[in-house]
Amino acid sequence: MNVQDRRRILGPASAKPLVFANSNEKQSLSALNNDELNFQNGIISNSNGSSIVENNKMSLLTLVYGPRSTRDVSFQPNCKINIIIKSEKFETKNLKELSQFLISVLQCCVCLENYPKSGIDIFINFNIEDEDELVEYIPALVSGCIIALIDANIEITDIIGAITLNHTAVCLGQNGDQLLGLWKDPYKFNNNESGDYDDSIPLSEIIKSCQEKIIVSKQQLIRFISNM
Amino acid sequence: MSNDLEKTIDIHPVSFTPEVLARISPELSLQKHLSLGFRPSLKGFEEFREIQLNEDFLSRYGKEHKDNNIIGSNVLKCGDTFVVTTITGGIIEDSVVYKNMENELIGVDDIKSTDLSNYTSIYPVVEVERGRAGACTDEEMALSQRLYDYVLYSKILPKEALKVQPGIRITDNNNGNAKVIYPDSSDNSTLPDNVFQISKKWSYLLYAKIKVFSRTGPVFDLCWNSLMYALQSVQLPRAFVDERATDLKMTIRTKGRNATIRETYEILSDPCQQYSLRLHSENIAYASNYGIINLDPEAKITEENSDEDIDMDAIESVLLADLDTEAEENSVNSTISVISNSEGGLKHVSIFGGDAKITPEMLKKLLKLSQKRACYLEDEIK
Repeated sequence: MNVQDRRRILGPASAKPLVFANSNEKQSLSALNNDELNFQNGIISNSNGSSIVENNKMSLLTLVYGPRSTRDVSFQPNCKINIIIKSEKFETKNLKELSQFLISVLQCCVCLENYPKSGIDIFINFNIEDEDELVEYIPALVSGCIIALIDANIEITDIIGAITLNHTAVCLGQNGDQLLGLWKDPYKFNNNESGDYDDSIPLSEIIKSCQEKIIVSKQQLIRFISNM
Repeated sequence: MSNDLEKTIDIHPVSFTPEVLARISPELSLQKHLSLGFRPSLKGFEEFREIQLNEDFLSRYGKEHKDNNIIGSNVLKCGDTFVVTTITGGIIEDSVVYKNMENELIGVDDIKSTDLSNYTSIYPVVEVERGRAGACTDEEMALSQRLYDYVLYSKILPKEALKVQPGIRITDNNNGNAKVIYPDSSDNSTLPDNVFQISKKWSYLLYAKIKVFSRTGPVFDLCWNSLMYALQSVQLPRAFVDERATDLKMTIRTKGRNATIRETYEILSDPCQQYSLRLHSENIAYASNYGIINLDPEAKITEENSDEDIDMDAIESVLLADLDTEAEENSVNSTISVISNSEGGLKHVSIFGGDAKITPEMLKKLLKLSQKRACYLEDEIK
């Protein structure tokens, strides 16, 4: 039986998506590579809070709905965070893992006990995704969630941040004193095929340099939040 | 005891701020606004929202070189709502043999170019972001189906424009350099004639992904207009097959001594060469929507004219252009959707009668408004 999705108009099943041959003349983006993130908030009127975080290689739209009631019948003393990431480029499996990671990071800073019996749903849309690795998106994802949560007037205890260095994303809280999470792309971690990955650098050194960098990125974030 | 009876009870009128009233009684809020001569969104009756366009920023042919599969795009912002349309492509093998036979059977060699069978549509998937996960909603399904049907019946997308004329990738045996040669390029004279005789035919398919954010009212016309803009930005990549593959044959089924042989090709898209999609531009039209609502005579009563006699039976209705906000969407039952081009040519009109008094003058007026709106929308892209 043909089990095509009958809710959507997907076209003939025998069609193949366009496959682009490898371009010989790969234009280097490094010249215009501007890693500085730009923030915007409050653009989506039918959500409680929203943010856009972009640089010239990505544009992420984060929507926060909640705190709103959950369907749980039993009493929940704490709020439940749920994150759904939508991307055309990455596999659902990896996105699910990433959303679990982000949930665990955000649970460290959202005042969950303030919102019993409720849930906070966060939807993240990858609108421009020119980076090839999920790990490169993590600093923008964490900042985007924090701005959207503040935009939704949800109480948080700390402005956390993340830095990606040597294909490792380090999430830090308490001005870098608290390590909240580490992320490496699953496929890169297994195959180690990326060219510029240097596995001679010990993890402790990566974390150390991230701790130094986090202060700068946090200041930038706080500057934006104070003008919101 | 008697004192208690004589005590007067003060009834305090409860008053709400306009925002609260709009939530708890949208109909009343709408009628009160209309009686004052404007709409809850503070627009005039026949005023449209302004639009902002961001043309073809997301595709690989956009302003910055990008390595993605998007071949046409548009971001349309209208009021608070914004619509992101991205168009991707696919390739399908045509069943040419079957088609030729069909034509011979009917005895038609040249089908008129107006025939619907010469046109195709785009495969749209609409997602309206409203903070929920799971299967698509009725609204999203209906929107996708309407977009699909109207693109087909508007005869915008001729099948001819989606035909693939594949080139051949030739690998030089001496130095291993590969180059792609197309049938219409100038330097193919050195090649034998039969190189381009590939028995298979292919066509491009177009897929549209339409994401709607911050929905505040009906969104069909926004989706349609964004899709029109995106379609006009589409660039189709040239496609090629490998030289080695042009005469590659594969046995797919053997039964005794008989074998079925099929030629196989892997068709690739050229990352550097592309051409604009040739649409039937005279058929491109833009959508607008209208509502008609009966005015509630009671809403006209104000403190100053409360003594005047107001005729409660006379029905007066009013035409509203570009429905927006929850109040209008829920209270206006008579809706009209028009797809029109800048010359006033109509591609689609649907009228839901509802309960309002619709006069011929109103219909004439809204057709004129749609033409003006189409003019404005057309100028935006130029």
